[in-house]
Amino acid sequence: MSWVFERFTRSVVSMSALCIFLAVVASSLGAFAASAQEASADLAKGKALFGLCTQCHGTNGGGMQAALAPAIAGLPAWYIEAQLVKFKSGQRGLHAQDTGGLRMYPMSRWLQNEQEQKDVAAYVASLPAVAPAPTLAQAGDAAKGQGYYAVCSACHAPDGSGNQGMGAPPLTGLNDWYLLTSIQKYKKSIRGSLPGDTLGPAMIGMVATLPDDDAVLDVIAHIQTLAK
Amino acid sequence: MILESLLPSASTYAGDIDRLFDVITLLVGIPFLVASYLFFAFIFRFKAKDGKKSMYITGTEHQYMKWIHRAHVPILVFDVIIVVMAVRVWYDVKQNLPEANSTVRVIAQQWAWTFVHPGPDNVLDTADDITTINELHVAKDTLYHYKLEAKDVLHNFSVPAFRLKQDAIPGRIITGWFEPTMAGTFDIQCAEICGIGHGLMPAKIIIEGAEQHAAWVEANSPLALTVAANQ
Repeated sequence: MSWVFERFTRSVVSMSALCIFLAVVASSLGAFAASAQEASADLAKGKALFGLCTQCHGTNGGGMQAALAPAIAGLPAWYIEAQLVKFKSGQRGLHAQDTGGLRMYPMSRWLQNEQEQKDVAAYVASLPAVAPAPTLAQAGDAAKGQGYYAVCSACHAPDGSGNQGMGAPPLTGLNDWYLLTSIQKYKKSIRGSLPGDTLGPAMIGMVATLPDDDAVLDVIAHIQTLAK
Repeated sequence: MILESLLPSASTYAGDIDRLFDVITLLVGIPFLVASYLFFAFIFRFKAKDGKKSMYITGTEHQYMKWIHRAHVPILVFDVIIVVMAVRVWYDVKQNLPEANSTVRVIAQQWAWTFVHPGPDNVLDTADDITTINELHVAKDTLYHYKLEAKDVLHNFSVPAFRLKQDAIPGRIITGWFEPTMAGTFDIQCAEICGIGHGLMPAKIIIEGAEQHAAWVEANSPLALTVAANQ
């Protein structure tokens, strides 16, 4: 009778192994399919969703200072998506003195899920970058700004192209007024201090290396010289 | 009665506004139904019939005009009742400013609300003020003044449960009052079209008992948060 028991045991083990193998294969295929689906963004849907954004950012994503909306055309999808997540979760913008950020908070909630964030981010990234015109009344000294920019270049790269691994966006092609208000917000901890914002506190520390208003204008002047 | 069945009445003056609403609804609604009934009844009753010539009325004979003149009397009486009641409610809600137990600042912008609450010292515009976004905390049975501001365009501070609506106008600080009478969480909305995100700026008013509210103030004052962060 022992051979019967042995054979039964062996078949049970074999069947179990087969089931586990099939389950692993199925889950792997499922995960692969899900990741493939997740990775793909629908530009057509993104364009349709971007219709709301055009009210402030413009149809070409070139921004509108009067609406406190910066140029976003051509920014990398990972950065746009990360900012949409931050706005929606209240890690960015949900500060009483962040007038522009508070405008984005409800807009980001208009996007219903991660896929919509991905779609609109991909569409924004696909837009050709717009070269914003200078708007600041007082221009800084780009040569002096190059020295201050040495600190920024550690994350944003010497050519301002950004570094996804560091979560640092490109700085080229941004409006000078947006760079100014962003630095001012970091200096006052209006931006970067909200709960859950892991990268913001680093920026608060970084902008502290700019000693005064002139230094801020200087570094912006240098950033404006960096080619897109 | 009519409104309260649809929406809680959570302020001292909400009942007065509801009563006015009921009176207007009845004084206008009942004559409207009677007039509508007579209108259609007469159309069917006196419709064209073969061999029957219609009568021409010049509109000057008293025997016919009296039906119009007599209807004017209740209309005038009802108007006076409505105006007197409305002015009394308007005075109470908008003109009169009872002494406040506390004051909050309400700042509207495209498309969010910022609320500044006095801290433990119960004095606004001091270092211990508590600032929140889209969430106003108040204590039940406490009379509040609100200082309403707008950063950019016209907005309207509307709290349906209070029956309160007040325009917010850029460049002006408008003072009003309310006294919550019911604990709970109710909607705050913007009731003035203010741009593309107008429909996306809801907020909440959280009404708590005095002790709970004091605990919230204590826990959220900047001083308490600084101590907690340093621990």
